[in-house]
Amino acid sequence: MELYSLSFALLVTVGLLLYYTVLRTRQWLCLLGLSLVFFAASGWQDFAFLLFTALTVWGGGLCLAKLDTDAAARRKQPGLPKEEKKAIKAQTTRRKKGVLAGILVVNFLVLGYFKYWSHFAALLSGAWAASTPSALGLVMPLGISFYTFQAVGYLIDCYRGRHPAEKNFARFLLFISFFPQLVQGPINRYGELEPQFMARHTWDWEHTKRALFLFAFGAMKKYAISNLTSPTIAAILDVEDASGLTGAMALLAILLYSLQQYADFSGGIDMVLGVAQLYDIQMMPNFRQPYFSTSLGDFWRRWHISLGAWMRDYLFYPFALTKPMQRFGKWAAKHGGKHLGRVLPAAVANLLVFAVVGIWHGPEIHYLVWGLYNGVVIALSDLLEPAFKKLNAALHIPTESRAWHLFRILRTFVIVNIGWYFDRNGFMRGLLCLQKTFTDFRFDSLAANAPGAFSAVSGPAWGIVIISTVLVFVHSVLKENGRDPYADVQRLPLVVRWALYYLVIFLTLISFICVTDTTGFLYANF
Amino acid sequence: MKKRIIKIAAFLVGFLLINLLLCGFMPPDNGSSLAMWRNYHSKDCVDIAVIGSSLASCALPEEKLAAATGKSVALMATNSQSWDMSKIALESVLREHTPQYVILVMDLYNMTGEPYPKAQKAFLSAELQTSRWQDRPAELLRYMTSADRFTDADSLNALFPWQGGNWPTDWPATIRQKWNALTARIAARGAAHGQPEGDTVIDFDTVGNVNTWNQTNHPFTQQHIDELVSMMQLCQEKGVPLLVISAPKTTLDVISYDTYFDDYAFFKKLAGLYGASYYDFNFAKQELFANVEPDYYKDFTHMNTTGGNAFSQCMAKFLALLDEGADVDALFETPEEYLAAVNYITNVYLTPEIQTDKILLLAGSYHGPSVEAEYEFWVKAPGETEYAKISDYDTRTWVEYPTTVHGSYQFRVNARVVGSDADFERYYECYLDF
Repeated sequence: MELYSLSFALLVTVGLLLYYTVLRTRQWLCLLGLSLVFFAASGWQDFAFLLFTALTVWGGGLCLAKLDTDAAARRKQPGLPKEEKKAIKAQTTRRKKGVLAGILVVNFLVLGYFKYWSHFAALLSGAWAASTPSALGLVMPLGISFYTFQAVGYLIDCYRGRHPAEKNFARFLLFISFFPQLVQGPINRYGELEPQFMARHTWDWEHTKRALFLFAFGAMKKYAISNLTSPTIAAILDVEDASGLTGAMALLAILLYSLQQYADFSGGIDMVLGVAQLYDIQMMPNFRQPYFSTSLGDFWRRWHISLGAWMRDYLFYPFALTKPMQRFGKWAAKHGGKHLGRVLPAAVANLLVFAVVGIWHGPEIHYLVWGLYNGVVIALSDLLEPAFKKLNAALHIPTESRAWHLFRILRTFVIVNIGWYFDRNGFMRGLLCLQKTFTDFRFDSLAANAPGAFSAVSGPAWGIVIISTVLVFVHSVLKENGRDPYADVQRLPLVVRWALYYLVIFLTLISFICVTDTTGFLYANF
Repeated sequence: MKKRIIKIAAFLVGFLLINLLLCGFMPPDNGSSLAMWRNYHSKDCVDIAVIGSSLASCALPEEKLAAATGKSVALMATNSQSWDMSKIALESVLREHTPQYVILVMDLYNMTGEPYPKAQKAFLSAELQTSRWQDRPAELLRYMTSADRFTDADSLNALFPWQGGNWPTDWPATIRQKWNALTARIAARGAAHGQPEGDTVIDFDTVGNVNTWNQTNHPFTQQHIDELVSMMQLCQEKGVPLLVISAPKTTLDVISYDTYFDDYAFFKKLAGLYGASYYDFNFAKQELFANVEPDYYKDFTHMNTTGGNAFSQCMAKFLALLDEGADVDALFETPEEYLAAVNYITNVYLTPEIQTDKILLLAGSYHGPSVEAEYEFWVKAPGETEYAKISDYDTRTWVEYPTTVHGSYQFRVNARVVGSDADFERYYECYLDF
């Protein structure tokens, strides 16, 4: 079910009517019903896998809670020696770790089977091919990456005692199947969503307007920018023989991909955040003007925020704080100084995190290379930070100036785009395109080839892309300066405000005449 | 609250007005579809529905078939009409009428070509535009909620028919065109055909190597097969006899199509599985249809007016035989019999290739398996007014023409069956700048 479709519009509208009227005392049940209908539209087979994750993780949470309760009761027994109490605690911790590990393994196995097994089965020969999801007539369940990560986050938080385990299975099912987040996230946290699900919400016209504005703006990003740039990128990069591609054309394609990727992902997220806000549910934001980042580390705190936060909380810190890593930090501090002792373990943890982020995108080598590239750049920038500071001081660079700030944004943009070469292309092609960008950059090839590539879309496509991109840029600048673009728009005279609304809506609608077919969200594939 | 409702209503009115403006400014991309649907909706009764692409409208012109059969015929065929569009047409006719026969004319492009959503949108909006006012909401809703659209963008985009048009490149001309279209609209009522009938007759000596096989993407895609099957199933469910037919085409087009006879067997089997019948009228025996080449054809695949008239007569006879319960299969040749009868060269082609100090001339021809062709090459060099022979008749299909003189060359190849004493049976000429 596409977000821009009659079925989705009906689902949301009927849902809203029920949510704020007859089901206003059981709003969470309404949301659960809507989520299950949305999920069922992609096939009941998918539902079995969602149910499996829900049951195992929910049961796991209860099991962890029970282990804690039992241990606390045993330890409270009068006259129990201290050693015995310690032994009970150690035994409980071991058991909890076992439960946690077991549930994580089975859930990641299911996810891995759908995401990676076809790839590995193709590398292995013969009989393995029969075991792939496609051979068994299975398709990747809708949002499996996102709901698995969300569920796993919940269980780890239960293990850490961050929140109590949910006793009501239906409520837990709602948490992982909440329909706006299923397509491409964000990866929400139980502690943030659950209180909102359980609260009573009343309809508010201002909330609705803001939500619709967000949805329409997101749709414009997706349909008027992403969908219209995608055919040109494909026309440039997806040629059979890339050896004839010039560096200028490769760079053009990557810059367009940069725009497409952001418009597609953030547009989709805006749409689902808007839908959730219609129900007065605030989901985790996933983007914060990433192309205004001043370093790659900063970029990753602004791009796909919910995945970054997930990796930070459930992979980076647990790994960086392990005893071997702490010992490694001490060793580094002893041999390389205080800075190295602090930064080196974090650099290693970053490499691990970005390798996992790369693999999360897919089993192909180019994703791993892209992930590791990000990890290496961040690790190097952290390690060399003192040297950079000294250099800046030696060169008398005014690091507080606006020009320096803009330079850092531009530098980060270049670094991010180098990474996109490997995200968009296979490894060898990405390498070839990158090499040609530096060694075979000819402006005349742009004049000769770009018009042909641009004609992959027809009609007013590029006019639409340019106007929409300007709107997105202005919106981003306002947000970056701490302004609320929606509130700013509300202060405009009615005629201007409505003209802006119509512009956003019709840019989206007109975009459909420029392409022969629409494509789904890029991140729905992950 | 009242003020808010007024504002929302005003916003929606503005939205509708912009839509209307866009409807006005987008040039219509559905001229032939409009004419077809307008004609269809003007009928009270449909006895025979002919569905397909331009092959159908050329081979079975509505008036001719209606006159020959004495029945009410609806020709639901437009240029490049794809299977998904044909399915919309079939659904409409089965919903609104109970035809005695549905004739689906096979176009091999329908089995391989890329679907073109915009054309489908234009086709659909033409149907909506031409149906009765009171039926339009229900038809629109049916389209928007149909199983293959309900969950995608097409469902909502059906509300914006201008998306089936093209963005104007010349706005003043567009405004004039729309105005003219508006004034001419009433006069255009009744025009039925996407493909105008033509009196042109094909000249096989100018065709060269152009045929359906060269122009299609092989093999058939599963999507196209599924679409064809769904139409067969639809007729089966409704109990309406479906005749899937291949209309007559030039022999050239049949024998140049590498997998024609395999495809014939495939369609025959597929139709049998879903209660339909498949007949290839290229294999029709003389007593059913005398295929007169080139007189019946305007190009290698489309019939001309004379051909359409003759085939309509044939179809009327064929339907009458079906009504009588006659053994119509006996009226068709087997592929072997058909091929055996092609004991001549249908056409010849020539492809020159420039090399450093010579021009390589590659020839070829289409003919039945019992035939061996021989070729004779000629040249008219720059500045010459007469052809000079390059090589005598030989079964070798190529010859090298050594030259260093730059200019415009004209080449000709003559072809005849080995053993023939004719000067030539077919020829082909082409030009080349060296």
